[in-house]
Amino acid sequence: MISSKFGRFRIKRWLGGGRFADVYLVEDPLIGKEFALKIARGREENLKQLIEEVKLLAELLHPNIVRFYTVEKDGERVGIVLEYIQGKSLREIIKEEAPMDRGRALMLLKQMADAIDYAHEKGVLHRDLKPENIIASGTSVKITDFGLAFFMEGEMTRSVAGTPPYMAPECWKGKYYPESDIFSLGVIAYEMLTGINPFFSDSIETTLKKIKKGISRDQVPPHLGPKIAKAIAKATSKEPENRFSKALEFLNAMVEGEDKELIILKGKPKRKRAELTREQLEAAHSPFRYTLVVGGPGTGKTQTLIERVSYLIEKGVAPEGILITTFTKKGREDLAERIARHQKDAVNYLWLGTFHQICSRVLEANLELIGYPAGFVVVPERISSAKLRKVMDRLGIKYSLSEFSALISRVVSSLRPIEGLKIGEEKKKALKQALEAYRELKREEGIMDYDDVLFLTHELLRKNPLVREDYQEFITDILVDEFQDLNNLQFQIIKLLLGPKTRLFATGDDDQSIYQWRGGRPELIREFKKIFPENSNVYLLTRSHRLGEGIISPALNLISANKRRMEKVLWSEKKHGKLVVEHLPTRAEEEEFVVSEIAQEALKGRSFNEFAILARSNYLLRGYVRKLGENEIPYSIMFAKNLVRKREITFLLDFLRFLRKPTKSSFFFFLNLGDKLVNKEDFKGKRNYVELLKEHENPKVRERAGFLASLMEKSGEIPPATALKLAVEYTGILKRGTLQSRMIRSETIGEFLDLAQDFQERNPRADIPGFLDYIKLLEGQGIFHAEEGVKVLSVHASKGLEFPVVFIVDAYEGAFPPFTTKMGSRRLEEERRLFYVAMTRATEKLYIIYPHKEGRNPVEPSRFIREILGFVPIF
Amino acid sequence: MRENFELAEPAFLSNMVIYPIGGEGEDVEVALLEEESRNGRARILETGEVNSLDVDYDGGAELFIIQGEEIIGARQNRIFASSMVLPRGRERVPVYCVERGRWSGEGELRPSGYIAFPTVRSIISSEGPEIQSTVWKEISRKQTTLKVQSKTMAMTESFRQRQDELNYYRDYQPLPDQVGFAVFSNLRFLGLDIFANGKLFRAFMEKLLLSYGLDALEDRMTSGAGQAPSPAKVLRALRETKLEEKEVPGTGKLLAGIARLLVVRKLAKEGILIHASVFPR
Repeated sequence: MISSKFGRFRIKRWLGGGRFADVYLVEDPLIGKEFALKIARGREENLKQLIEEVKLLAELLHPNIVRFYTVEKDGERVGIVLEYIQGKSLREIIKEEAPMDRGRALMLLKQMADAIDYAHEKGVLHRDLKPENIIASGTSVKITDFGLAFFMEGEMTRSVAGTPPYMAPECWKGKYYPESDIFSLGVIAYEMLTGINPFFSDSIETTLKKIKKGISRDQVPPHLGPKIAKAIAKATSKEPENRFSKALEFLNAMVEGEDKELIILKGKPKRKRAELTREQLEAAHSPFRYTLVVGGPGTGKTQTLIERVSYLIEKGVAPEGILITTFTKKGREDLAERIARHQKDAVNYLWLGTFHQICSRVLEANLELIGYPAGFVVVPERISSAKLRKVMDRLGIKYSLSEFSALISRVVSSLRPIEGLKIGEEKKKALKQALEAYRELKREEGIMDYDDVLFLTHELLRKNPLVREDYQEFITDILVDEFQDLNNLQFQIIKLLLGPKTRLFATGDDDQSIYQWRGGRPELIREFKKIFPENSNVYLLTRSHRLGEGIISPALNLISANKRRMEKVLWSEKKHGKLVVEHLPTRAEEEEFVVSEIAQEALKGRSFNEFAILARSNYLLRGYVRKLGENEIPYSIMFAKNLVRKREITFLLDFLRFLRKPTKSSFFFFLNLGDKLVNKEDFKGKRNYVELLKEHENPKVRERAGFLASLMEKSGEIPPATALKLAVEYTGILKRGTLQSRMIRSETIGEFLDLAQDFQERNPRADIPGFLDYIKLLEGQGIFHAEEGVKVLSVHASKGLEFPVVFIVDAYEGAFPPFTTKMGSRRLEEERRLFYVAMTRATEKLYIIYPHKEGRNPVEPSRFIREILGFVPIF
Repeated sequence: MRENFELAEPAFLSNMVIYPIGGEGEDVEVALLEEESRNGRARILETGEVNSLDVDYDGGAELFIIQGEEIIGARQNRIFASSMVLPRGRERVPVYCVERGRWSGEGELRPSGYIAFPTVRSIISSEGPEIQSTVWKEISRKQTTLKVQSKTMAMTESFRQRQDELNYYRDYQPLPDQVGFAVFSNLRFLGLDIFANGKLFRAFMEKLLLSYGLDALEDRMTSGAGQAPSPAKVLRALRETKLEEKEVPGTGKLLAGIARLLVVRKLAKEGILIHASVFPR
């Protein structure tokens, strides 16, 4: 046992250890310096001999040898105090990089060779050279444990020291020469260049057999060249006299005849971090506890956030303690991909997710405390709204489902009571009733909707100080992307997670806040300093790297009409960017115009990927989809990468295929789902198997068979979205796995249900075969993979994306903005922000288009066009 | 029930860090299973079921059994599901199997001298479905990681086959007024055990060190440090976690609760804390 002090050194923590020794990080309180303390598990019997040996070590002063300081005694134990190097062992580097870049490997090997030759000249052999004993810090390496092998191995193995796959043949007999260390260096060199230890084996006997043969030239991969093969073979010769006598000779033999010096590479060539501007770097390295980075479109806010992650990790912050929230699933995926380019190792340890993913992880760890039944299911919006419909029908509430659904969501996400809503008293009463019954039903059925995931997390953290403090202690840094889109509930969760030492780093732009309708709070940007008055700072990013002046100026004309906004500067060195405002007599001609412009631009060499058609609402896009299809121009209507390839979706599609064309084997597959209830073989040759199973003795079989049979009978009448909801319930697909995986699955299924619903709305006679054909068609066109084609999107869905050419279509009063009268200034400001977001998606050319008529009714151009241009074009 | 304990300076045993917990001892006289079994006053008998055994006790003072204490032999090896205090007489007690591959053999069971390692004690402290199968999975995982071979997947083999390395974790000297400890590895919090008094603590100390050692040994394969709650926080969880009374055989009162990442259990008798434990979940 070692107490918290060893001699005069205070033990801070365990650093690592082998079979016979442990290494601790210690501090010398006298000089306040940290050291590594190596304590052998043996006792002091050999102290005298050890002291003789370490006297020699004290002589070793070389930049590539870990410096020995002193021997310390504590009771019967003896420890060796060494220089403390913060770095990675060569073992870790080999794991990460091998086969290593030749230049880098040689650069590291040269330093080792220098150190070995130096120690040999001083009469000290290492006797246990291996990757674990070599520490790399930046571009330099240091060898540790010189001459300590005997001491570390202890009495039991005094005659033989070393680690078998690196030990020269003579060492197995207890004989050590300088050439023995060179043998080990040869093995290390081979391992660095190939990633393989040639002598490693399950049995020590086989290792010895292999070692006696050494490394032959044939074992060295040909691409390393004959010189390296020859040098490694010589370094690992069986007889010491056949090896190099100096380590540097070995190194020179590897590069013999090459004109140039050894190539010195500073680390493995990594992908360079994106060049950051001074204002981005200043923000990313903010010393303040609460930091907000505000910048217009294309100013690199996310890039700054990524730099912040790298900065924290490089400063020694544990990635597990860094929580990063994004607003959308897509945002999460993009961010993970971009962080991985710089922090490949750390990215998997970061706590990165959408708010829902993060909260579901918190709930998962505290199921007992939230009073929900185990195995509950998070259901997508399409399913939860069906439950609300059920409740409203039961209570005889006649208001619109979508309105009530939105009101409930607003109440929950704002954490404000129903009384505060600006709606009539009667409606308030009905809403209260509906909310209460809806909550009860969800608990009864063991389901949660997306708002519940956030609300219950908030309640859990608010009511349980121990839980809250645990998270506050664990999370050192909270990074929030798109800060302006947080609703009150999300912001309060962030506040609850902020402990006394937690840092907050947020990025956002109040001008790009487009979710106020569902509770987004752009004022969080404007009032940041008020919310966090102490130790806080707001950094402004002013230079847009994406937009040219030709787009920035008109976009700023528009957004400056908003009164509630933070004034900011936005400029660009790029002078390009063209705005075209066009008007056509009808919507059909508008569609024709857009498609023909795309076709003409494509003829000039543009890829279809470079175009986006954006509209305020999805319904406005249908004509474009049809038109693009007629002209055989590839397009994509969604960005769900590989949606139909996801397991849960293929599974649901299998269920629909079964309903379209039931087969005996698929019937039994779905009947036995989860637990094998009946054996298909028992029903061999029986055509009436469905009827027999409906009468089965096992009630579970009867129930399942009855359900499947009834679906099969009605399959022609069931709309696809309904069939999918039934499939979700029957298969229990949302009940499997951890809560986090259920949450992610629920999001994917929700996306798919949206697609089915959209199909259903556009095709009043939609049925299952029709939907399956539609999916096949989309797949055939590559639409699910979203790699090719014109993007046809609502403005909300375009957030965060950029395209060289953007068409904002149907820019007329009643469509964009969607209301002509009685629009409150807050809502109008949100619409203006939405238009601003649409405009700033374009990097080269922006079209704003509107028709003169909607059907037979004349329409007015959007007021935003006037604000952009200062006038309205006359037609 | 006593709730104030003091933490002392930590001691290091390789990658294991032990925070001694001190406090005034309470006067409790109990007999221990190993000794009573050896002298024939406590007999442990099969009931024909995997998850229960009969303890037939004929001693003087009441018999204290610690959660996770392993008994081997008969049809398969088991561990006790919770700490308990048994009076004289025959009592049916809940157990978990720690030897999945055997259901053969005769005779009585006897203590092996080992206590299940913390991750297993954490599993059996948590209330969840399929505890037995989770225990088997954890034993199997541990044996794979530590390269332990056992035809019947007996937990006891993990201790036996890694005895040499585990012995290092026994090298611990308790403080005079020590009644328990909170134990950490380089990567995580392993667990906490507190007893009514120093005598009772010392009676289990070595076994517990071996038990904690088995988890620490696994963590020793990874250099570097992980994240863990502070020992003060663990003690606070012990004090403040809302506990519910649970069924337990014998004369003790078992209280259990969960505080986010920690599982807390206390066994008390007549207002005196006999044994408390905290494990990560």
